[in-house]
Amino acid sequence: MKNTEEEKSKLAVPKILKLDDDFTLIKNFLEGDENSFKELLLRHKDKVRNIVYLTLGNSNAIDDISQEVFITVYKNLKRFRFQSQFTTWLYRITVNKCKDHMRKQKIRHLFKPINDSDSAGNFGYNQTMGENDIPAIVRSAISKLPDKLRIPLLLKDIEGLSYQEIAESIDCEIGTVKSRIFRAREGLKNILRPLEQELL
Amino acid sequence: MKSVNKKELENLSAYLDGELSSSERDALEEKILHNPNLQAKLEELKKIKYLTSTSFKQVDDSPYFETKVLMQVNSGKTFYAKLKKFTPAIIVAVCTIILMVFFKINPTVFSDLFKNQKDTISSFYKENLKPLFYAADISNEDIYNFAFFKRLPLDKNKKQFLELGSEPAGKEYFEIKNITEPVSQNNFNNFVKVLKLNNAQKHQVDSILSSYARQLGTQVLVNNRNTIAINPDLWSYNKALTAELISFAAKANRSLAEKVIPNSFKLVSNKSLAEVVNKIKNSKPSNRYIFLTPDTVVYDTFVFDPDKIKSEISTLNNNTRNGNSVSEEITIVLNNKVMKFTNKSFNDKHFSVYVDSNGCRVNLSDSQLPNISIPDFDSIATEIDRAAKGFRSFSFKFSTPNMRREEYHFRYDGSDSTKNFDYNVIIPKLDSLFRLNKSMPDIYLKRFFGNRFGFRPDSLQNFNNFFFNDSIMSNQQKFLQEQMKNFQKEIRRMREELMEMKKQLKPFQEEKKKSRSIEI
Repeated sequence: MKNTEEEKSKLAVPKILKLDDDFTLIKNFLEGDENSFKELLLRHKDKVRNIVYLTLGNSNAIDDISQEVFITVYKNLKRFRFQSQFTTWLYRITVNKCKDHMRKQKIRHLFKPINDSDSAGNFGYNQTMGENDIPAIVRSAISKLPDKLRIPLLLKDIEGLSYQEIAESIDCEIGTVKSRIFRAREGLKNILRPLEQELL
Repeated sequence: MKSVNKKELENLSAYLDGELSSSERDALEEKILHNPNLQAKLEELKKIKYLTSTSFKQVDDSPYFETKVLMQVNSGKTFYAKLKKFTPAIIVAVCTIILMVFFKINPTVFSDLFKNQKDTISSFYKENLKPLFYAADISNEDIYNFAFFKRLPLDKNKKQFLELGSEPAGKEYFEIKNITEPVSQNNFNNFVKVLKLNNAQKHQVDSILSSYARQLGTQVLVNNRNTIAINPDLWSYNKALTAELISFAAKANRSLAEKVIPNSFKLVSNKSLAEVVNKIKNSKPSNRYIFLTPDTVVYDTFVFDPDKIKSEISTLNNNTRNGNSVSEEITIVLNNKVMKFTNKSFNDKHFSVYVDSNGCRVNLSDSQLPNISIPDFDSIATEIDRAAKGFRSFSFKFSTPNMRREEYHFRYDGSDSTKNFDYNVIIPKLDSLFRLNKSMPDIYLKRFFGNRFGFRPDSLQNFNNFFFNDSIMSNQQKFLQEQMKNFQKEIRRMREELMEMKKQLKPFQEEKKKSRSIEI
């Protein structure tokens, strides 16, 4: 009998948490439960790493920047005001870290020799990949878009964020996000026009 | 075919993303149904979206990612990691504490350091300081001028002077000046002459001056490093010397002295005067000197062996008597390059120094001047100054006659610059007289001034009278009058001649008029 009651009580408190439970985890963390932070980390690390990858197009720095994101989150969780979703706040930190990194990269790039090949920022695409590697061609075309168009497009099409989430992450209006995503698609179409027959 | 606007295209993109509200979606679907362009565009966007969403794989999983993050998070929580953030502040705090402890243990470290530096500079400039008398031959005339004009020569050629003075605001100063114009060198002799001193009195005044000369010898020291050390007692000695000379003059020849020094009697009748003079003369000389060096001005002590100085001075005097001059040539160089105060004034706690190309003035504060502990010293000092200012001196220059311009230049130097007077006199036809007798100016001087000493600027009126009432000048006027008479005669004669000519012309003109009428 006891065993069956225990099993029931275990079933009554499911271990799988929903997204809305981010707040509970944060509250627990703020009350001193360090494991709650680990839980948050496990839950969101893939998303954060993906956003970093999509935003930067460079796999070398993904882990470093993602780690920085979580350390920032850890240090600033006590300032979280529970007025928006945790993910919105997390994505904004992620995008900002990526922007900082890109800014530093641009400055470093100014001091690099012209012939020095730089694979960063083209999602690993190069000419040797061959004409039939369509995803690589598309990734290369996307990498040619300006950051302000590329990031909303990828956050929408790859990560599946809503316009609202994207707007909060990159700190702009929903209308702007809508316009930028459309312009990104138009830009992509123009870049891929030479391969229209194969692709479009 | 219907055209598609930008707004509709953006909505089409948002429709594809499922981001339109139900009403917007319904309206757009209605439009798509009736607009093949929109349909084509939607298809195109769908393909693009498909290509984008299928081009990326999920990024590979990173082993130990969370472990690494948690390690970093935990490492930041350690005491040393927290301390690391405050490293600069900790370093500053530690340094401050060390310095505080250091200064607590050695509170005089800086003052000692400055003192050592100051001592080094002082010893450099103090080296080889000798009484002024070695550098410049000081005569009775110079001591006398020091009494009444507060001026002591600093070099042998007497082109550089140390002058004491006080500004209108009452601040005492000393000044080292280059004097380009020659100064009168006959004041003491005039003093002796005016007071009509007999030989005994002359000896008396000489002994007064030489006694002060000995004392003054230790008051102003100079060396070849452009340093002048001035003992503030110099101000007191100046007052005592002036007072003693005025007293002497009043006693020697009271009526004449009163003319020369208007306030002398009042001063001599002051009973405290003798006390002031005695006090100053008998007071122990101070070891404190004001050092004016090319670098700075300092108020410091300087001790020298007075016996050695005395013996050196007596040797100097003996040598001078024997005709062997032992004076050393020391000239204080005064210019902006040497005096490092540049054009700006130099101010420290005690002094204000002003330097220009012609001199250097050092204003003193009251604390540096000697304090004579006699109740009415200040009033006596003021009276001495007033009497000295009332004392008159003059110099009279008679420039070389200018042959062409027949002009003579006289200059009267009064006791102060406001009373200086330049006088140009045109005396025609006197050249020959001057050429005949070069001592002529002295004759005029004697005739005009006599042996009077107390000459006042007002009396220059007499000077004019002297020349314009002179017989030569009168003859000149007569000559001019004669010339004028001759000229008038000539004019009169010319007028008569003209009248004559006019008369002769008259018949000729009438004839001409007549001939013209016939023509008409």
